[in-house]
Amino acid sequence: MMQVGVSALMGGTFNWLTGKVTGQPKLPNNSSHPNTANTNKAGTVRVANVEPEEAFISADHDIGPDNWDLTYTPNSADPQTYTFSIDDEVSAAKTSTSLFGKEVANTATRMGRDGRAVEVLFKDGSKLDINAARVKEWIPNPHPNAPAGTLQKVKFDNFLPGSKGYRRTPTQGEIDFLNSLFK
Amino acid sequence: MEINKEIRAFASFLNTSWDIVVPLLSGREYTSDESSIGGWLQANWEILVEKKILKQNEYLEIYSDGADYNGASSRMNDIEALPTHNLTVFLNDKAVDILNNETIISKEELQFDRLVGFQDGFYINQPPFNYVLLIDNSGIERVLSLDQITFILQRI
Repeated sequence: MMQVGVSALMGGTFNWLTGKVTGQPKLPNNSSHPNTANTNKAGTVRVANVEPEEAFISADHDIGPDNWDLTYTPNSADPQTYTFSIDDEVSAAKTSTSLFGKEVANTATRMGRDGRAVEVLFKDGSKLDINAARVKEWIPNPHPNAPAGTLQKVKFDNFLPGSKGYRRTPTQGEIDFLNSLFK
Repeated sequence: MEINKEIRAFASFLNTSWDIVVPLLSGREYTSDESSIGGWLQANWEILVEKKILKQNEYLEIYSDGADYNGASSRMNDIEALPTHNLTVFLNDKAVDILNNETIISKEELQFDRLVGFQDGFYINQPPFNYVLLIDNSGIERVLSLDQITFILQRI
């Protein structure tokens, strides 16, 4: 996983740095890339495939609160592109009924073999399971014969090796959210 | 290399042991029943199928979504290992996807996901495991009878 520093974003120079992103990054609210539309909405996570230069070259608009967390993951199929996600402050998500842009129906924490873990059920019927090692996700199965509540595993583009696409590394925002539930 | 015998033996093993084992795997505090069962399936997939058909240091793609027991790994044993082989399928003539009521052309590439039962027009994770859940290139789930499929071992 690679992350990019805020100062690099604001300066318009795209340099890969390590460490958590904090501050107020500028995001391309006027990007022409279809997948970057609506990224300037607080409280949401959007995942998209973009080219780094395309994502930030025209950045001119401050958005969201402090402590936005941008995570970049190179796409194995095309090393020139990256998958990026944007997480807002975890504390805001925790105190409201939404998380990562979706309304939460229920959260259930547990201490698993890999330590802290949480299963998040969303009101749209989808489900997210997070621990420090991996994230798994399910969505309602769209097949007309599927009984109500039947879920379908989500395949990720940026998946963990050997997982057949069904697991990915948690974002820093997800780790922060997980840890916040155990305080 | 065809591996029909091994996959059908695995289906028989699941049919025989399911009702005995699943109650033992349920209700654990540290994980979900689904993950518990997934770990048992993956462990047996590795021991009964993978180790039967592959050489040492060769590994089969995980069964369904694998185990959730060893951190980021989806395996139960040799947790750092990555798959060297996967399963592809060859369909008999006029194979029918009973989930979508469609005849499937044998040239279509389908990825093996897992063995399933079938009830009321939809697949279930219960015996009898007489069907196979496959994923096509478009991500569409398809269910075919075991009788209509030849399993082929393929190096990745």
